[in-house]
Amino acid sequence: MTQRKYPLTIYISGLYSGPNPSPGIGIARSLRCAYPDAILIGVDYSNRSHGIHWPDFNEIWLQRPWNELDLDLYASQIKEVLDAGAFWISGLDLETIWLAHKFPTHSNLLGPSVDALRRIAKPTIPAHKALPLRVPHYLYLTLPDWELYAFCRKYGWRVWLKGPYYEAYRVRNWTELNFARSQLSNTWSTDKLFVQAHIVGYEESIAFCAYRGHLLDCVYMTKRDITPEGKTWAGRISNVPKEILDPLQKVVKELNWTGGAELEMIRDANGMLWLIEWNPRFPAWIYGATIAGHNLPALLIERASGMPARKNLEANKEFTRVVIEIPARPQFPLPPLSEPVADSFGSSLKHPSGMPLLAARLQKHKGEVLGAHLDELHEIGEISAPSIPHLILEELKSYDFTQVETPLPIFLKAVAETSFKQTAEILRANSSGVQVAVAYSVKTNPDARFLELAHKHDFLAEIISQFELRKALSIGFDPAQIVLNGPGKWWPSISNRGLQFHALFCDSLEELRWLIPQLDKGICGARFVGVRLRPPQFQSRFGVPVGDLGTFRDLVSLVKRIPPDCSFGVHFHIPSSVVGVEEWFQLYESILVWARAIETTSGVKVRCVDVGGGWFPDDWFGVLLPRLSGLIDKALGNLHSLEHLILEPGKALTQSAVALLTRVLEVRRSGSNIEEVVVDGSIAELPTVQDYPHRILWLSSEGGWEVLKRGKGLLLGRLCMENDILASTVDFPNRIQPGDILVICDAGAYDRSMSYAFGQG
Amino acid sequence: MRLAKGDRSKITIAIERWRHWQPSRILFHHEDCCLIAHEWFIAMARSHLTDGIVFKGPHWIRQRWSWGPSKWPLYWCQVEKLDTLDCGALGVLAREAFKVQGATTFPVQLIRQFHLQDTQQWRQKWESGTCLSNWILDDLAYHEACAVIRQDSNIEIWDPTDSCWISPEARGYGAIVALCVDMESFEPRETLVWGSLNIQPNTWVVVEVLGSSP
Repeated sequence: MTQRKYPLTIYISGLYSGPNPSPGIGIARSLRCAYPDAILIGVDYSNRSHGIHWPDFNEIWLQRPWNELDLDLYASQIKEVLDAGAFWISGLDLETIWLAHKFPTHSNLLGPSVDALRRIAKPTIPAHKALPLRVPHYLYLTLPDWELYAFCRKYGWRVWLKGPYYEAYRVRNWTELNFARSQLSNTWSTDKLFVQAHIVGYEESIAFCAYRGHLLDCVYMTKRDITPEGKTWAGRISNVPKEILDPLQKVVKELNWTGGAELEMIRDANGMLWLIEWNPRFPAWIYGATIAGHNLPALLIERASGMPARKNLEANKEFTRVVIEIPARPQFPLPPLSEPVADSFGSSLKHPSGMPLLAARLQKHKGEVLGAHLDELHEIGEISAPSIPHLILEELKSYDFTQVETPLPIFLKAVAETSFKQTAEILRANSSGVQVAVAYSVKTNPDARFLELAHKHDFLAEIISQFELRKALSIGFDPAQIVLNGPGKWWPSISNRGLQFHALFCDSLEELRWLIPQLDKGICGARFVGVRLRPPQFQSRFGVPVGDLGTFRDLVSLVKRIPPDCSFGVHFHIPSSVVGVEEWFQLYESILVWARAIETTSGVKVRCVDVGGGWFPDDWFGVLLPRLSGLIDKALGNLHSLEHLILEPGKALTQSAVALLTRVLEVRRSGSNIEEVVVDGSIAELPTVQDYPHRILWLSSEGGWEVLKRGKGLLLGRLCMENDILASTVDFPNRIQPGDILVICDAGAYDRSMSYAFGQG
Repeated sequence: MRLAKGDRSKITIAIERWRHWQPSRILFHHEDCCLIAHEWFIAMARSHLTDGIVFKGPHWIRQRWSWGPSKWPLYWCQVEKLDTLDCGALGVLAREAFKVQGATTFPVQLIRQFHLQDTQQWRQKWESGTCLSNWILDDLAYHEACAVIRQDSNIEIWDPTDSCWISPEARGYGAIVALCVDMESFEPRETLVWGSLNIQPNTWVVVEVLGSSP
């Protein structure tokens, strides 16, 4: 190696040093160990990036915020320092992308190329394919809400909403997803977001440095402590396992990588490593690797400059952060805290290095090469509309909408009949020794047309009050086809004494204690008598809380007292659309174990299991019914005397079978954009409209139906209420006008049964 | 890690003291009380397996029971009524939970090294609760945990008291200085592998001897 004739000068950007720090300080500390005489110049874009006060920097090159900077002028200034022999190590992802484009061939810019960046772009991270790592499943937000909602249900709402650059929001329901979508989109000036499955496991990382495709060194870091945001606070450094190291060397070579990098991973309980991010820069904990004897920034500079780095010995394989105070540089006086507004405290900036501002700048340059580059980097396709089942469209065609009064719920008869019929056919195909029945939940939609369909197909009727009982009996259900559930099943009073029901599930020990003498006296009876179980892992107000051993003991002793002419059964009801489909199956298995425990300890055989509910139509037909035989096998594996399995579809059979017909009252524009459309429907007719996506159709003046895609428009209800927003992301057709018909689909379940009269005088 | 001569002899004395200790067992009364309590525990363990992951530690046990003195013998019907359980009882519960999850697990007896002020605190706590403190020897403590077979002969060790997986690399304060995986009632395996350590089952071994090169 040869000694350079001029002082070694290194520009290091990304100096923020808060709870979610940039790597600038760690890079500077590492380089100072190796090059005590080097000139280290810290670069940042805000005097709120507190790392500008770190003493290892000889100078600070503080720039104006990204939204003020003349990027061409700034690029020429950077070129000047690079041409003068200085090196540049970026600690900011977006700056790295920008610099890679501006200086594709400059040897003193120690960062990856545009092509390499393309191959590590989220969420696909194409470069990972050569490594023994998986990328968690994801879905772009260009897909219809309907599909996004299905994805979230599939992963039990253990999902993240992420943007292409920084930040991720954990979302637990549809409302949170919509909120996070709006936040991320506004912060990063992009709609190119994606939803990704959460991986449960330990966070681990690989940091490496490479020069022109040659891997110089790498370390493995296992997090030992993390901040509430999940950022590293302490960790342990070890060698990268050979099964990763060998392919990593090849990938680095293929990418012709230059610079630092970090692979952020999660190791799940089965030992599988999932790649969450491939950052094109050193991690903020890079000085932890230096402590462990791996000074990656120094190796990079040594290779690029030819100047030998002072070697540091391993001090410890483990590192931790501490909070320390340092003097602020007098030439950069601390700015005052932002003025408190309203009832809040003054707050620091969340992104002091101004990455959202840079993102906004880069997104505005759509016509320029950089904008195109970003598009290509995060190519995710056009926003697509949800598909509407052919049956719904066909049925809508049969209506003459010119004269109807709106808002009007439309019963889609063919859709309803098909759902009931398909379910009945699948049940008829069951050849196991266990009798399987479907119980139609009257509360979901008490419309007589649905009840008649249920009766026609020999379904049971599940009722939660004596009013519902009367309704079911009036439709023609026999008491022996009725399942009684819920805490108010006897409310307001027992209508008919001596009825023999199909099944009767008590909601509490108190109810079971009361019921047993009623059964003895013949005031009521049922083929199956049992309890609803409240499993310990879910918050619920319903059922017997068996997680308490005393309660479990009491339950066992009460079960022994159930009259022998009634068979014993258990019931549980947790909406799969809320907990997730796979979690529901886990819950089902756990309920079987509870049932077995009751059977073993009481000596009373469990002969009936009633499982609900809250099935989204696609999951009922696409997941539950196809897995019916497995469901029965699991039950028989635990309960050898099981005779009867009751399935509660909940909203699965009704949701798609009613649509709400509305008329446009007003179209509000800003320039040529339609920002808001007001219709005569409202949350009074669609009380669960914000809980899950509802597909929306527009009837064009030519008489054709158009499915509305996601956009920026708001669909507002007629009510003078702030929360009467029917949809917050709609792309309205330009030709839409007052008087047009909009049909809001998927309104056949609780949207109907819980609707209310409001604002009608 | 290299043990000082004094430490090595101290560990040898500790192993001699605890060599004949059997892993803890929770007993059954010959009545329904213990059957109900045991079945209840099994169902609880299955309920907490919300994602079906076999090798996830049963954290819920320590959320329900604190660590502290237990009086032995201990019966299943007594467990739920207690607020605190010692490492032996927690170890039994954790092994039951792992079995429910579908994992193969064995008791592992450990000797851990702390500071004298810690063991003095524990001695005081146990003796004031009229429980035996013979699991303490100077700065060493007898401890019980669960060895979980991951693949072939590879094991991981779940500490049901700290509710975490023990790192085989951990040294220093609280480190394991000796261990014995109890596989008496199972098909004997030649050796188990824990991190970079090879462990002979049913034998007390000093971690330094196994872990360091000669």
